[in-house]
Amino acid sequence: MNVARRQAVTLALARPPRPAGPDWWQALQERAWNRYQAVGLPGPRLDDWKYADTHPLTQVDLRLPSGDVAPMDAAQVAMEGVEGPLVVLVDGVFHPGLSRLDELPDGMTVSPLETALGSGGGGVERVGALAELDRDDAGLRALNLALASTGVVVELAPDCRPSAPLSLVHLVTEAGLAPQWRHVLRLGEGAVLTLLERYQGLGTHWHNTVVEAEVEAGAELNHIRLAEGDESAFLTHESWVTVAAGGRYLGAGAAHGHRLARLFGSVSLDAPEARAAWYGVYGGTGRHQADHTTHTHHRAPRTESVQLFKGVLGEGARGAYTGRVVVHTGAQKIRAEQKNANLLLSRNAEADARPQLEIYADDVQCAHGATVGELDADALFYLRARGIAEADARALLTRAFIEDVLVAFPLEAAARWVRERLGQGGGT
Amino acid sequence: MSASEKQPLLIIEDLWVEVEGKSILKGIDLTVNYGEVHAIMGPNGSGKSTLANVLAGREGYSVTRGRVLYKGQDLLEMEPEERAREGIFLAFQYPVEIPGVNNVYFLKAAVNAVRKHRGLPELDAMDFLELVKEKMAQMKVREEMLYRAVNEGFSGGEKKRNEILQMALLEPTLAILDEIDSGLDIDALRDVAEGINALRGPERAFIMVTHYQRLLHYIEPDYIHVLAYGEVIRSGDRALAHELEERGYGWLLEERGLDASGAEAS
Repeated sequence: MNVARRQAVTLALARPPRPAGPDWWQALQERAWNRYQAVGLPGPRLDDWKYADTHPLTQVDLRLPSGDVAPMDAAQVAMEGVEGPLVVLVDGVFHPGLSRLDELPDGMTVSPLETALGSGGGGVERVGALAELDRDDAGLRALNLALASTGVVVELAPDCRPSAPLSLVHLVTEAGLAPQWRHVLRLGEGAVLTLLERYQGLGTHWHNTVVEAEVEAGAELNHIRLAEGDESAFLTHESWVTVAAGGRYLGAGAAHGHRLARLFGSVSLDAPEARAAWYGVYGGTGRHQADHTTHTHHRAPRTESVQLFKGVLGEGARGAYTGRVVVHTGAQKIRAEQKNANLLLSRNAEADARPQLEIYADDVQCAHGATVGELDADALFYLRARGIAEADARALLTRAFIEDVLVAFPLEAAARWVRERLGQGGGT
Repeated sequence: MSASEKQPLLIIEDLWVEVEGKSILKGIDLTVNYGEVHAIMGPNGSGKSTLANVLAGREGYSVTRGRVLYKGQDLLEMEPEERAREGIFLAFQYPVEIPGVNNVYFLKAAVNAVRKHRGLPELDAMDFLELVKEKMAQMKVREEMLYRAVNEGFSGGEKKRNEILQMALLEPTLAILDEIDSGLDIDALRDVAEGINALRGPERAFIMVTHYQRLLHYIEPDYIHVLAYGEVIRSGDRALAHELEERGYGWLLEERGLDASGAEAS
């Protein structure tokens, strides 16, 4: 691998003076820290980061959370229409008072990272197993591991199928904080889980998250990420997933309004009939920048992947979709579909669409398409000719544009959340 | 609003319209009074649909001369949605499919936009459903169409029924029907015509743009205007329809000294 011939750009974030946790963990963090120092922040020299500019991150003052629990009340973390277990993570800390983990179904365990590290077992040893550190673009996940604030370790026993989603609420209440969230999940055979991650923050802040998930044979993980920010908010999120025979991973993501929001996902379909689906919606106005990047590895025959991403970009906003699909040798009779469509609401908006296919098998079905367009003038006139004000007609058509992505969101409350924010015409 | 006979609703005076630099309408004069039904007929390319679209406010048409007064106001200064709220309704020749927008949501938004403008309280979901179901029964529109996307996957007949359903809901003062009969089989045509006839009354007027006579068997107009090459070349009462049915348009063109290309014959 070609090591960058330049000084790595790193943030002024230091490791805590006293490392904690078991020896193996400290060694892992040490290794991650060294890796981060070597590669630094990912930048435009990396193809995957061509449309996600990390430079603004180096221009703001950021610090690691101090570990204090901020006063919060339940109303600040509730989401209408969502029941079930809840993990509240505030300013880098697990918030036991607001979290709701007392009525987990049989076969499901959810532990804060530090608790899991203290007691050992429960799957915590798998942290770092999937989110590899060797590549040049490992800077953010290396930093995340070296400085991990907290996170959850989730295990589902075979055939455990909780009826309600598991919610992870990530909050920053103090400007300047840069929590590093680390989650690890394993779904046993036939288990089914909906995981809803939400992100919010006040003032300049940066959420940096890495999720690692193993989906075993016949299991299904519905993974939703919803993030709301403003022009001083940063979000970088990586999901690393493996799917075994007949298992299914569905990743649905929406980010709204951030200075930079990058949602990355890598899924490895390791055995026959494993499936992956990616759905994403992004949009904003002003200096908002959104980037959805996916890597989908078909490593076994008869695996399937579908991707549908839509952007609604207003004045000055930039949105990018990069979807890399790799069909490995021997992965015959696979099916892979990618679709990306963008609605530009202003001439100063920019959309970049990059479907990328690498195929090393000969009996495959791969399709991709990308479009960039404006609102349909005929539809707009039709609505106005029925008395609907132009602004309302535009909002209605904008919502309609993203609706086919939203119906694929595995939780109606999440779809509604996106509709309310992105359906207004790229931001309000 | 008091509606009495011979009270003008729409006055078009010397209207000239260009599309992409080409003259399409060349000095149209037309007065429509409350309670009247006017049919605008003519060969293809005569400018009939242009007239309908200009009245509804569609973009892409430039008015180079003349004026249009609607209820005494300058119509051409109004945005399309203002015109709709003031009671102008265009039934589209090609109703637009809008994927992702639920028909019932669209209908309710339209009805409430118009009601709000008229100073009436907006209808809630329950009241609206009651209203729309009543109108749908009258229009023989299947209820499941409510929950589909606007016009998406509708047959030609369903689209036109949906247009008339919208008209029945919005209760316009001036309804402009652009080729409402095109693409309809006889049963659908009869239903659509019934829907239109049910709305006829002294408080509103209709302009029906059509290429074919057959619509006039179902909706009898008070006046007929023949439009050719951007001009009204003949106006008359119902008797003119019968004459056109027998003789076609050719004799009118000849009488006006126009050849088939629209140029002045020497």
